[in-house]
Amino acid sequence: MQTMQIKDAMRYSVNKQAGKQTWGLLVIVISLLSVGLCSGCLYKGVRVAGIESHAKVFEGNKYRILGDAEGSSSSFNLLWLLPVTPRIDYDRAVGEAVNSLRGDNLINVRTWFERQIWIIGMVEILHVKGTVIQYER
Amino acid sequence: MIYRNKNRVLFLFLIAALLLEHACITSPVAVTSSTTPVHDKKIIMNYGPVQGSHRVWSVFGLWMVGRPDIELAIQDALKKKGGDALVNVSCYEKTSWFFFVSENKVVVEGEAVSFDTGVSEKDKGKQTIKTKK
Repeated sequence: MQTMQIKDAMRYSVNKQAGKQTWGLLVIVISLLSVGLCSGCLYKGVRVAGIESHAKVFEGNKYRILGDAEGSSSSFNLLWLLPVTPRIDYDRAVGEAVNSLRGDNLINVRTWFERQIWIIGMVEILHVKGTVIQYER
Repeated sequence: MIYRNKNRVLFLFLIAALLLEHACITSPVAVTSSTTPVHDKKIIMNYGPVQGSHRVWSVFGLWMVGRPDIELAIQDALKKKGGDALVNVSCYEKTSWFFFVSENKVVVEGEAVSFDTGVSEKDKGKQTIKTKK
């Protein structure tokens, strides 16, 4: 009889501990979510958009490498739906990267797309990174 | 007694949900002939198919920490068999959702090749390809 009581008491203690751990886990999750949402950013994600050997048609075989550069193009949608800036543009992003080093073309092109959803709206950014070249004439 | 069992079941469910994958999706990203221009280079060695990947994690599937980097995935693929670049490249993205986090992985597949660094003007355009088995 006494053994049964001890066993029952031990089981109760283990269950009580498990219950406490569960609540602790839930409190941590809710706290983390609250901190994230209070910052105003509801979502932030990046996805790979493409990979290319060159951005524009090659105009010559001889070229010199100027260096690595990155360009971007962004847009903002008020209340996630209403566009208030021009749409993201791949050519604009490539042009920005090429012009930053005053080159002619971009090779080894890597593209990725970033989306941030805030309380007041949504930001979309297209990033283009590559190596800027200049043709030898 | 019922209350105690309820707590235990809830706790086990949370642990199982943490460990077990909830869902996953694979989406294609791009297909390209090469990762770098090859028209002015001579391919001297083809090392065969390779695969590389790079992964990042999102908190609750909402806030991504870092970004999936395709350049690092290419470097990872080239590290396996060597080579200078990838040809016949395909790239896809895999997202897996767990209970509190999600995993975003970019995967690059292609054939690793080496270029001849000292190509003479006469040989340009001719591509002699050896295949390593």
